[in-house]
Amino acid sequence: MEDHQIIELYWQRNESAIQESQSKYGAYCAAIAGSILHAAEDAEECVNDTWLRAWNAMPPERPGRLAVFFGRITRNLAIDRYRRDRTQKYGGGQTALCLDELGECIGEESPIEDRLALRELVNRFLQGLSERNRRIFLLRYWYVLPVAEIAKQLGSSEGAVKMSLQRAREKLKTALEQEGIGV
Amino acid sequence: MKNRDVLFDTIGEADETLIPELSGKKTGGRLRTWIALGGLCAAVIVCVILFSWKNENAIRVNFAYGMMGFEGVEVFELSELDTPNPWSPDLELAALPVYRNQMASRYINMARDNYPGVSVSITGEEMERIVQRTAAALHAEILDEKVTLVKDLDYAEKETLASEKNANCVNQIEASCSGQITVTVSCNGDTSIQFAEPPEFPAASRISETDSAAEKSRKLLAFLCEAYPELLPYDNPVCYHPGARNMYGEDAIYYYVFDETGDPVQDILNYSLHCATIFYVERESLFSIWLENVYLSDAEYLGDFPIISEAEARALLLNGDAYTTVPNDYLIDGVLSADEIGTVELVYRCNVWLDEYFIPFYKYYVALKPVPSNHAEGLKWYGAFYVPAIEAEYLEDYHPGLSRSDRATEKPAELPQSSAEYESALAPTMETES
Repeated sequence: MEDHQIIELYWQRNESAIQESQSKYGAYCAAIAGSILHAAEDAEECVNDTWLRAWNAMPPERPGRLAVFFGRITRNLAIDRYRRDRTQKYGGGQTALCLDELGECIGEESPIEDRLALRELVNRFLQGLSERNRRIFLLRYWYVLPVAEIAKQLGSSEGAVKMSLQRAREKLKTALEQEGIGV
Repeated sequence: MKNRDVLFDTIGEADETLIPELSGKKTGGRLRTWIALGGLCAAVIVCVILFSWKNENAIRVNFAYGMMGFEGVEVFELSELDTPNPWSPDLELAALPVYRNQMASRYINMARDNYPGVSVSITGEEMERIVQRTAAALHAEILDEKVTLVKDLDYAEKETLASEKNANCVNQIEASCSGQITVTVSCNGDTSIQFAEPPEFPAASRISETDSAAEKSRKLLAFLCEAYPELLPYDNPVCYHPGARNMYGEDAIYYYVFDETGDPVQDILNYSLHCATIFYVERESLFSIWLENVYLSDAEYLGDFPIISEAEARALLLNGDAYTTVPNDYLIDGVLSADEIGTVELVYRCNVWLDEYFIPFYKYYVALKPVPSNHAEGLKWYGAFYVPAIEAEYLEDYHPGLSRSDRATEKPAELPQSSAEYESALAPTMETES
């Protein structure tokens, strides 16, 4: 079923929207949640919650890219769960590594108050990266994929991926400092 | 919450046009995005076709793939895939037209430039006329209208939009009408009709749950022509069910309508590019109609190009010269044999936002290994394989070779090379360290 048809089902409050979403995007969302949580049961729960969130969001939303729309919900749910449980359960994995790495870019001296400004900065930063470096950055920090997996997908070495990430983080750090965010 | 957590969250809110696919190797000059091509397995394929002109007559074809899954359908019997496609192997056609899809060109160019993904094809006045005409065809009175401008969209806060010339264009008109009907017209001309209360079917068109999909199609069309004769802009509409089933063996809930003119070429175009979709579940619960009638009106005709015969296309397919997202080991015995070719049709691939060009393909349905055990008993899987119908000499960089293991190096990396890789790509990543 095509995306616009699935969206239509949500708008019509037709419960087969859930079934069609699961059929088409269940594995995709499970992969995202799995990357963050490293626990199949929790990942599955996040995916199920994704359809509920989507059900509540449509209408009024009409997503432009349904995959990203679902993926973003799943990512947020999984990260919330990760934060809630990390001290009890996970204590590591890719999410912790990603957070540590991002910690290099931003200080903790003053809390971020203007999240809208941060979002605009992040979008500008991403737009300023080359397509390859942007892809690497987002595979790492949006999809929370291990470096080895990214290297495999790009047919590159882990060292090259790490180098790209390092340079991107430095650029991001500079941009954040220039805007006085988190400093 | 720590700043790094806030940053992590904010990255998650990045502009959706920037988010890459989950898997795939980037190769020069390719555009990639998601496109769903139906089917009832857990299949999504990502296909963007990029054609560019090297000279007056050459088209460079570049199929870019992403993941997830592959394109296929499940049916109990192959005959369920028979549709009223105007093309048949007996039809002797020397050439077929190729078009540049202006909507996708604008959309993709804007995405490249990081502009919001809104491609405006028709004016607000035209949209309003469509709303009025559609409401009249439904015998409905417009009670209220909500007009959304491009700059009103969620991402309108982007600075780039302020300079974008379409910022003040109408993006969508949503009209609430009597009879609990909502008519929505988008700036690409797509028109959606939603029935909050399903219309009542007259006795002659009553659909029984025991009716075949073909019978349901016939009754649906009869009802529409009777109840709303001005709605479908077709002189001789043909309604059909695509034959697909879900994993439980139930009919897909959508039906297609296109106009049969008697001109084979025009009918082939209408079948793929000028049609309506009707959503119908059961017990006469018609709940939505989509009219997709503007694609060709906003496409640039590039000329008629010589095409190959179906027999030639079949030979190419058996030689491995076809585009597919089906992993090799989903094929029976791991190879594509003539015995497994189920049926073929000629289609124009059409994703109005993503396909920069509309060109014809022979689309083959090839029998695959048995469906998983949790699918309804008796369902059979058929995978889709595409062979460009345009003669190869007019195509540059035409190296499909996707179903031959000895040409694996030509496979796009986005395409899973085996079912194990396909399943692995979809499974949650369980590694703990990079």
